Amino acid sequence: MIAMEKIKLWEDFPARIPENKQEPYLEYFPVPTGPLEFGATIILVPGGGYGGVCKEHEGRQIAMWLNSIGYSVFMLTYRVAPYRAPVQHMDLSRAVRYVRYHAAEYRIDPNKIGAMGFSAGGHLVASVAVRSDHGTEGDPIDAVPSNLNFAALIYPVISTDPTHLNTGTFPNLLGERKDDPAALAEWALERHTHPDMPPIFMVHALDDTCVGVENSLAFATSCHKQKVPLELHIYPNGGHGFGICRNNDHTTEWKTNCEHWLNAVTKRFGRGLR
Amino acid sequence: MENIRLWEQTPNYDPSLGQPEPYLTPYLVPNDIPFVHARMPKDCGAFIVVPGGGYGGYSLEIDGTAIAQWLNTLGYQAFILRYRLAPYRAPLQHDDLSRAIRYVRAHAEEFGIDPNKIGAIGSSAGGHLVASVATHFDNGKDGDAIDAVSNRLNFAVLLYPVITSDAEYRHDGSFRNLLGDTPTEEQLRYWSPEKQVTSETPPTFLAHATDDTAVVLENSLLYVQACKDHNVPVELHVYPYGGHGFSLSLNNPHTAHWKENCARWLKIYGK
Repeated sequence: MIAMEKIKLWEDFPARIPENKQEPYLEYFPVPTGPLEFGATIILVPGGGYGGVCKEHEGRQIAMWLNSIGYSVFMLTYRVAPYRAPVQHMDLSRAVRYVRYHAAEYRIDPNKIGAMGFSAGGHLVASVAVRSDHGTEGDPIDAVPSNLNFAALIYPVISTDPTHLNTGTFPNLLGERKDDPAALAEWALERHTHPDMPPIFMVHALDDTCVGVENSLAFATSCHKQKVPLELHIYPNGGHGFGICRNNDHTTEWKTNCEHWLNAVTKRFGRGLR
Repeated sequence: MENIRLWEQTPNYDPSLGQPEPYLTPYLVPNDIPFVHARMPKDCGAFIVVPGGGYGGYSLEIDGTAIAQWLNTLGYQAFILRYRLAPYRAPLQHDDLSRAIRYVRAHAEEFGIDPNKIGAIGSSAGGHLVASVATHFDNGKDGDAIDAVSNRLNFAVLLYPVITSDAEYRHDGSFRNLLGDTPTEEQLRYWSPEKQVTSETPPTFLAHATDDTAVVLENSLLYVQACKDHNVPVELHVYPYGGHGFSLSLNNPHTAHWKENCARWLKIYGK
């Protein structure tokens, strides 16, 4: 494994907690055979319940797979607890702006920048899919739009409904505000869909007891009402956190379905989803 | 092979309505050709193919023949069901599919079929009919020798199915044809399969497109949630485009991937 250089998102990142050592950064995984002309790239956002970042099984292993099907990857290390919302959203938004700002350098099409998130990382990707801007004040990178062109959510956390979750995700994300109805409503993403969202791809296992399949069903229902181009695959089993999934003949097919979707949504072979 | 009449004398049949008596059209791959090695296994599975048409018509080409031929390529014997349509009302459609399942199971040996590998694939209103039999079945009932056989499906495939009778998402035409203009609350509940799922409901596979304006996606989502709530192994594939009635999806290669997913699913749940 080649040691990847850390790409700092900011020279001096905002909202720093002085005594905390975390810093947000990207790691670039180019396609080994060289940049491909169609120029789509994927910002990879591992899960970890906003209390950690699972950079192996929802990170490097996924990056290797995406490289193998021709997609370059920027893996995001984002700040987690005790950092609270919206710091995580700031980190991913900045990552999108950073990659878009440097698109020419990486031979990336600035309109083919997607993200793939797992579990809490799926929540983070979905939050940027529903909340992005055309550029904000700050340095030249901040002036770049933060919208995603496509978003893949793998067993994502979506809903703040406690009956659908068995994790510390929201206490980690919200800290003292974890029982504040306004804060919970703000991060219950099925309530914030809108027609300008990017195409969405979702995968969930029916027997996920950690993040219930209801999370994906709720987001799918909501995206569907807004006429967002939506793809959803539910497998009978696989549990939570299956990642690359080598031990389940069914659920491992999520990668095939995802590859088909990525190729279609980026028009890799000249034809879209239609 | 000729069409198979389900009954010698079809119960509740009214010749004046001008519809044929319910029958099956077999699409069989021979499993006894001498010297041919690429033949069907001795005890293969079977599918009853149930075309859609809102209980008022019959999309034989799209949801019948094409699907049956595809199933043959996967190693399943297929039987397209011609069931009764409006003005016949429920439960006669359910009776027709039930009888078809019993018939194929009763004649399993003759067809070289494993009697425990009998599934059904239904599209649109045909999906509603399959889901209805998947949720309302018995281990055999009084009548002739065929009626004594179970009509439980071993697996079910639902393509863009009509499911719910809830007014918000209901496919009105199908329910009007099935239940008439003034159904009772009880009837609406009974014929809304997502409200009838139990832990005995067979494993089910669904595919639906989000841009289906005839039968909206929520039908499939509701059925999946009901299956989850009763621990029924269910698999769902939702595609952004495809509309209603995409069948084998010959003009949209992306949505056509439902077939690969279904073939892989059948290797576990349809064997």
